[in-house]
Amino acid sequence: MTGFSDSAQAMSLVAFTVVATITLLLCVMTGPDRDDLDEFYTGYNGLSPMRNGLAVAGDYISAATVLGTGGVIALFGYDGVVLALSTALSLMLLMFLLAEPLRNAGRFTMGDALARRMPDRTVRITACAATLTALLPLMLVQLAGTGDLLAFILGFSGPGLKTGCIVGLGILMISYAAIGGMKGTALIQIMKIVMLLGSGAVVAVLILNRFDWNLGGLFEQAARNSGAGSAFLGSGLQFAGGPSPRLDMITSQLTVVLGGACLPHITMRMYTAGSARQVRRSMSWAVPAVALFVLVITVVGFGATALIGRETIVGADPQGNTAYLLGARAAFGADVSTAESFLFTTVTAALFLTVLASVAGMILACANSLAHDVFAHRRQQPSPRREMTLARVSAAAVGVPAIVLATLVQHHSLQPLVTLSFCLGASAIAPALVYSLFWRRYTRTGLLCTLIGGSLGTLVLMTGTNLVSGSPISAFPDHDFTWFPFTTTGLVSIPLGFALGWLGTVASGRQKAEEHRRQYEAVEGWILAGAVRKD
Amino acid sequence: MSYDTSPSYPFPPHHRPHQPNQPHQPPHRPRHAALGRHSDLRVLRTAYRWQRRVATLTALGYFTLFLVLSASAPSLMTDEVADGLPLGLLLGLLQVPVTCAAVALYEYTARRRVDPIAERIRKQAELDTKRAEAGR
Repeated sequence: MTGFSDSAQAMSLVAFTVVATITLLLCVMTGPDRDDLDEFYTGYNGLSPMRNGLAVAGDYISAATVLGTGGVIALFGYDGVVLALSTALSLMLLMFLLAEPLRNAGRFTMGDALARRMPDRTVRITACAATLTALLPLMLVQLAGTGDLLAFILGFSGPGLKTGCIVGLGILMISYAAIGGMKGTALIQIMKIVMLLGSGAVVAVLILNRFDWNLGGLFEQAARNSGAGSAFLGSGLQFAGGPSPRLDMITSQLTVVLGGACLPHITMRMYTAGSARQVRRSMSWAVPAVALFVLVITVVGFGATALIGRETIVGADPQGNTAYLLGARAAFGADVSTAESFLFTTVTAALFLTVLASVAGMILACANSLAHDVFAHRRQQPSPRREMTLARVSAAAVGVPAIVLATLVQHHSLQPLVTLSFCLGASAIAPALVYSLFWRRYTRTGLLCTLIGGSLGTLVLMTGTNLVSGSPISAFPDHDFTWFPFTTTGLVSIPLGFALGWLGTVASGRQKAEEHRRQYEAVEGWILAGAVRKD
Repeated sequence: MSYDTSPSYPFPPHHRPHQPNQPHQPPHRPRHAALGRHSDLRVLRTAYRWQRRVATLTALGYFTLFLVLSASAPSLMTDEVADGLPLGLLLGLLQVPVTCAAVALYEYTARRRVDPIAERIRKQAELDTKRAEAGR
């Protein structure tokens, strides 16, 4: 019973068409005016904190989070809950540590924030390269996963049809990014998070209701049906098998905490707020929204295992990516009334929206960076109108290769790619942002060392992890060339990223460091107080 | 009678005799531009640093403690506190309301401690730019 009944499929198809049409229409209607660059890159500068916060939360809860984390909770219980908590904590750290200075320092992209104190083309190009490297794997995951999800919900089975789904959806996402810009996608993200939280909360209430509001009963039933017994409710199931499972677990979760919210498609939403205070208030909405979603996904994930059992979940998808959907359907019971099938259609529509919106946000982050950091900062600056056209062409230039790559990786395990993105965020982007916003002596050499060294270190280490070879969920399960027996590279690559930044700064000499300190002091008022409104 | 320009002059009248000692000083010139801004910035830096460090370290510290406990004391974390509810999951789920409370607390302290200073520096910078423009 992995597929859906005919009527459910028909309704899902209708829901999908409606969602795709309405969102595209919204993008066209709210898209930015012809030559307003600020509007294209940052959307409404005066978006209210609540709306902006919901857009941040929408960007943050990607399809990989909903489907992937839902699956990990359903299959591994406790470890999945910790993963969901790490995700929420990551956004909170972003709020506490980086959000306000980032908003003050940046204008449109991460390159702007880094170049604020080191106006230099190499810095911008490297920032763009780091953005692309960190987001491309995550885009591939979402695109390839989307093909699977759509095929599952709509009942397509042939591999050709799946590839067709990926290509079609990919083109749809590129159009969102190109037509809507930040303005259009903000609206889609708000719609998505409201639908996702609303439908998810209803499903969670239904599941809890079936267990008479007894959380303990739900957990016990889930443990019974998980095939692991009481180990399901304790740590270690997911990381069992490695030589040091405890260390692996701790570093994996900390990598998510450090890397999750530093990814450029999240930080790009910081620049859209009108002031540092607005950004803080936005995040005060975003963090609780994500925290609420952690509760929802915990209940739905446990509910899926408790109601239908591990076998069915693994049967539908070995990674458990469809667990959220299966749990939602199981919550409605065997015979569904019209109202219930309508509700279930809302859940699938929310998932469609999630999938569409998250990739659109990432394409936009990459395209903005490409257009603004690389092309717009050549010797002669293009006119705003030309830069906007450039950004739109960049959306296609980023999206099309992503689609092609996604069709190639769709038959491999996608978990390594998600991990790769988080590791890159934690080892290259997080140190670069922390240093350049707070360390006065940080030099250009140090910054380049952090970004390039951190990324390369992560990429090299990644080839040796459990996720690339040697375990059943790895990308190449038939081979075993593991030489770094951990699930993430964080244990080595995060300290490496920070150490390289420090070494690069020390190596560039006292004089350079003093020079950069003076440059930093010149802009400190901007970074801390937002004294001058940008350029 | 230069002090008459500020109506809420706080000093009692018997301070007046001091005034003639520096009769040629124009009101407010050097203090504002250089010294005022820098010390304000230092205060803001300290306030921000204090707030960021405490908030970040508390959040990270609590979570790391939770992770270490989960990894190294599994028997403690699987102890049932209530009917069927293990301690680890309870501690985990408690983080959700704690997160919301932490965000509220951060917002509150930032509004009280940091915002006024940042506001002052911004005003000062605006004033400086205006003055520079007027002087040109």
